[in-house]
Amino acid sequence: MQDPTYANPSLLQFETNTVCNGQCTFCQYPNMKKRSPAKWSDLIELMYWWVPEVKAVVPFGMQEPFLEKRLTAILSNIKQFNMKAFTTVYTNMTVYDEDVMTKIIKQQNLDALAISFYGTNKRTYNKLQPGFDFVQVQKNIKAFMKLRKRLGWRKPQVNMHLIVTPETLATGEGFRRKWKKVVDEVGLVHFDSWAGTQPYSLEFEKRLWGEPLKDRPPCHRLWTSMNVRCDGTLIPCCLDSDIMVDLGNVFSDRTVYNGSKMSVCLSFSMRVDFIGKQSLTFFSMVVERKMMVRISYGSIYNLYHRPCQVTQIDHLAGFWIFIGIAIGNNGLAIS
Amino acid sequence: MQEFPKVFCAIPTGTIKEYAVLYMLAAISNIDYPKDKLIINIAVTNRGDPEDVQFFNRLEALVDNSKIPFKVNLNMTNPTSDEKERWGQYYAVVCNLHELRKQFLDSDADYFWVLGGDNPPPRHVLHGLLKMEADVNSAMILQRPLRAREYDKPGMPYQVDPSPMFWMYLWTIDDLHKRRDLDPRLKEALRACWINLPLIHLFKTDKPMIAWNTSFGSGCSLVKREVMEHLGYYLNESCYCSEDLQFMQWVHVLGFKTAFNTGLHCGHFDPNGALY
Repeated sequence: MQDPTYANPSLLQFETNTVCNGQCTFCQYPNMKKRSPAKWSDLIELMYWWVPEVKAVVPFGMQEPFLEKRLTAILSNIKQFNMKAFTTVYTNMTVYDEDVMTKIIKQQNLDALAISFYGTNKRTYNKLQPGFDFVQVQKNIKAFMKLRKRLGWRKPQVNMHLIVTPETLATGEGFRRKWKKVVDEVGLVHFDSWAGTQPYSLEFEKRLWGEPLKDRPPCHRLWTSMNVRCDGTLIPCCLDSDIMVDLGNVFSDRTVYNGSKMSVCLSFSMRVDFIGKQSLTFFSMVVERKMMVRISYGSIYNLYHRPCQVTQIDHLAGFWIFIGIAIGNNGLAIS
Repeated sequence: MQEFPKVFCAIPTGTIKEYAVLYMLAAISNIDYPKDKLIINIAVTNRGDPEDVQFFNRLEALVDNSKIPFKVNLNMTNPTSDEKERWGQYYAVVCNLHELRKQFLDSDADYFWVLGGDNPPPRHVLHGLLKMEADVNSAMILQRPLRAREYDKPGMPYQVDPSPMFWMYLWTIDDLHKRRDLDPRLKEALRACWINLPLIHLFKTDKPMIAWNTSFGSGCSLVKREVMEHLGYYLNESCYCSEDLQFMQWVHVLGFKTAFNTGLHCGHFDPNGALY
């Protein structure tokens, strides 16, 4: 009988370096240990073996993709290996080079551009994403949309995300109304504590989303995604910015995705005593040398068992109408 | 003083091209280029046949004794069954070029010069290619009568003889970019079609000329680093192309320029000993 854990991923996420110009307060990046950039040959080999197997690729991890000179080349390689693979890039849109943007649109190798612009107003923006120019970033977003229209293509689809924090919540409706006219989609993202390293208000989350689920199944992405850091380390979850769990190096051994460490990780996360455990510990697991490694990412975020995709505002009928009630009363459970 | 760019010469070969090895090594030895600016990289596929290993060992001995003035790297690739299945009949050359491309990208070379295992270059050909200004430049290679005989049958649309040949596009992705009146969905569909089904027609000429933005084989083509970063020689989506023609499709899709010089001749060795 085939090992039930043996499978190819449907989503590949990898990073090419760890260069970002941001100091965003909700992100683990400023405190993260930086890694050296991935070599071309390793990236090509990774794409050569895995991209034909997957349905979607997120090629830039803890980094700003528009600061990566190999951006268009990597997107092009992905599409050459698998034209149907859906490519998504997350950016803060602070870097705007007309030539690069034109290339991205004309080459049509990027399917979705997700913009992290949490600027319901200048004050909130400067608090959440300090160091960026509120006006300039808005200009960049609008310029990109204009350029895409002028060139006559509908890809990349442009999505804007609003992270739900006490600061953004109050002015969120204005943000949605404003940007819905400009970009293709406006969505919400949940605040994440990045393995408990970021200040996190559980009270606020409870008021907003309701009480956490009593039974918390493990995140499905453990089974469906492959996350690779730029040094080749395979990690089970993309939130593991500092590689707390090292499942092996895919650059040197491509069997690690279906290897013993990954199997241990998956079977451990299914253990009954960890399912439903409402603590900061996502799961513990025995890795090599029988050492107990305690990890905490997934943590609070996963108490709600939300997939880490964006919740589309349009799909949440009346979200903003009820939000006031949610804050003041028993909470609004959306999961 | 003239600055010479660094050139990475990639030669995929194997037992099937053994007849051309001696001539190739002699031709490489005579290439007119600074010693420290050209690296020769030869890749041989091990298909699991003992002959491949023997061929590799013979080649190694020949290279050691041929006094080639440039640095020569020999590689042996071992394609897996997955790779054989994925790349079909072209797996041997695809695996070789894949390996050579990775080595090129990790090096600091400016150009990737692909030479077929039976395309011995004249000594001046590299200078000629460097003078051309496109992103992918090719010298003229004649189709051998051996191959031509396969087509030279009654009922075939054209008769093939050893003459310069390349393919002209009936329309290109550039034309699609210009069509602002088309619905983007239709443009996307046409683009996908174009990659898989090139609308080309054979162009033959006896006159020296540079043909811009055409499609051609990669027997003697010089490719800029930027192009090699964007794509390699693979064959996933194509209906009928070979790996080098599929490469050309992608070159055009990504907006790079190509040039084919019919006045710059690179040889094509025939198993019967003739050089075309």
